[in-house]
Amino acid sequence: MKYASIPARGIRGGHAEPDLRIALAGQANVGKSVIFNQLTGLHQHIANWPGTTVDKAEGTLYYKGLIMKVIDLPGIYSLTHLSIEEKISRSYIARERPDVVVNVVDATALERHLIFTLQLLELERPLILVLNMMDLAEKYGIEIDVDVLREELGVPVVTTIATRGRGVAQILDAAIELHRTGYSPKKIRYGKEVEERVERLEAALGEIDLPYPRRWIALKLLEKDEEIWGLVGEKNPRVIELASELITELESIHGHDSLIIIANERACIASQIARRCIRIVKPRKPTLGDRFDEIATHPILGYILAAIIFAGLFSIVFGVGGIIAELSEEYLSEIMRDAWVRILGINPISEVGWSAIESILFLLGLAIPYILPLYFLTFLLENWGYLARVSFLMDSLMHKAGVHGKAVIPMLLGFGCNVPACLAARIMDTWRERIITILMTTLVPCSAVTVVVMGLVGRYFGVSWVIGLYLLTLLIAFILGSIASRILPGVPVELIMEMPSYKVPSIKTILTMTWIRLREYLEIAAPLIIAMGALVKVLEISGLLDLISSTLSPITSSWLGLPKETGVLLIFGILRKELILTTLAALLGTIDFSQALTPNQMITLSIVTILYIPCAATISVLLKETGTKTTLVITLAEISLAILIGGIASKLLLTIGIS
Amino acid sequence: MRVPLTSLSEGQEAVVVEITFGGPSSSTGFWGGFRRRLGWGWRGKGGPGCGAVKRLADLGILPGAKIKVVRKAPLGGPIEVEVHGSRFMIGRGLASKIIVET
Repeated sequence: MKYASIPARGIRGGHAEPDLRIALAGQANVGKSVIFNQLTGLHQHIANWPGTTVDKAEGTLYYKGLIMKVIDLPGIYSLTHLSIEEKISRSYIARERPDVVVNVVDATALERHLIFTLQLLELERPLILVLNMMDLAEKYGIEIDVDVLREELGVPVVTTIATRGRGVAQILDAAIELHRTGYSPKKIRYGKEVEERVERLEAALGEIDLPYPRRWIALKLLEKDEEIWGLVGEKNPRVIELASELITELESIHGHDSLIIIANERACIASQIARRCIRIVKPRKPTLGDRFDEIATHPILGYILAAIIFAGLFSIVFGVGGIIAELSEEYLSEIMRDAWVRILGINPISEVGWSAIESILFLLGLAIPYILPLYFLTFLLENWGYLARVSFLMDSLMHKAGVHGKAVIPMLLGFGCNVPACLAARIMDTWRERIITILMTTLVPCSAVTVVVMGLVGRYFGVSWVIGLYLLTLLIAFILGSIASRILPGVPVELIMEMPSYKVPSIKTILTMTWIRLREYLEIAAPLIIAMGALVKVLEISGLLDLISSTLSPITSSWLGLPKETGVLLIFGILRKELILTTLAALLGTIDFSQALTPNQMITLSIVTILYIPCAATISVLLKETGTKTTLVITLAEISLAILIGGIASKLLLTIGIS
Repeated sequence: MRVPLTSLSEGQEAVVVEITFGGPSSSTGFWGGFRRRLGWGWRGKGGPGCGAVKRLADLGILPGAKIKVVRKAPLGGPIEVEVHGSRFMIGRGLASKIIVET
């Protein structure tokens, strides 16, 4: 097999009409995004699909004199089951009619992936099959006869090792060739009983005005696809009646659900094709990955390993971040402040302006030292394949909160920063699971909260108290998650997830993903953070801050037993939580907080800090991911929770003698 | 012998016979009533587990498929299975509804 490295480098196609529109389709974990990144590099644009939070990644590249637009369709399992991703993908292929659909599959599990390929073929767009991970297939002793496969399906087949960029250019060559010469796929034939009924439905459908192919609609009707039932039902209810009759007939012949019958026949076809083109040349020996898995998923060692890996991750993030942040804060911030004052002088307007600039500096000071390594390391773990193992280990625990094991990833990220963590909640399959995960994630104490809690409780009571407080917080998060899972509509979804094989991560892909995500983070968080920074300054200068603080005093002083200035602290804390500590130090004129706060107040203030509200940046993400209503509910719920728990804790501490 | 997938031990192989579903209704009980009063209906139609059957089918976990339990997660966690050469984890509750013939 001959591979060539990719010569194509993306250049910005501007707004020129592309000569060729390519859509990448495939299931999760096949290296589709690696191929997308190899093709488009940094010349990609990530937005959301209209009305959803699913990423829409598009890129433009220039190859052999042609401008090509590549779109990365969301990773999916099939085109039958209706998750948001699947709906998007199939409707994009049918409605937008890309010139070429590139179906990326895992060469080590060809048979399973062919089931999806067959469904793509039914959408009747020109298709190229890309067998990725050929190196792994070779390692596992799997030989694939590409010519036979090409013959069986009637579509071009390209082999790649995407992580090394091999064969990626050939995809483009194949796309150009296919676009030029036209396309003649084999028709996939089901069993006689199914085919007869498909034909009857096709005839009944007539010239129905839907963007999908007629045969595909007929099949989906027999598979009881909700969306297609709805669409056809609106236009021609008689077809639905016929479809129900035919389904009943089919089910009585086979004794199974019609959905299973068709899925089964499709799986049989895939298996026949696979048998003709796959040869196992040597039995699969336990690989290094398999042996590592013995530890990674071990009932005791697995948890220890996960603890070590994540402790390592956070110590790198905080260690590296701390050094960079300190340097930039000491020098950059002061130099800029001096320059600002020298030009504009000290007056209310310049102060408000400076606080907006300070917010930007803060955002960069968080993004570059902390969020960047956090994203990089997380993508590294994900690309390697390890994160799936963590989901495996934590699934049963996460079930206590009504979500499954995948939710552990956003929650773990939350210890670094809630913003990327809430964005990571997109990995959850349904709206319901996403909301629960986001709710729990916003309660996870982030690095800024840790600064406050360590500065108060950690410093004066010791780390064991901090750990105690964090366990309490996680318990509260789980209780809230469990309540939310009971209230929220919909049914809990159980974990069904591929256990990917370990792969050597592609650094280029990880860097690209880190950069794209970092940019997204800044874009989402910046507006609200800057606005809030300016607003708080205005409040401070106008004296309204003290007014708000004294209005809040029945809660802060009487119920929570905190000093009357706490209101000011908590308002600053919305900007970013660690301001609670720095503002406190500024108000007191000392960093020895024990002079101003009683032990009881320190613990209560820490609890309130952990719980009381997501910070401005997190609120920005909540608004984007969940909408205004849910954001409001979550924010208000957490404020009330903080007041409630804080007050109870303060009283309880009194009774055990901590005053 | 017909047993749920969950009762196989690690390393054991079997053939899928059927996938049974009949989940509990979600508008009964205390929280269900609460949900009804709030006027929160279903997001997405189809009975409980309906989507799961489809998803399993897409992964090739269908009647007749050979399935091997690779390992079981601790504390009632998911089961890792091997089907057609690929590995998946399936939540324990879902796995208990996959009936296999040993």
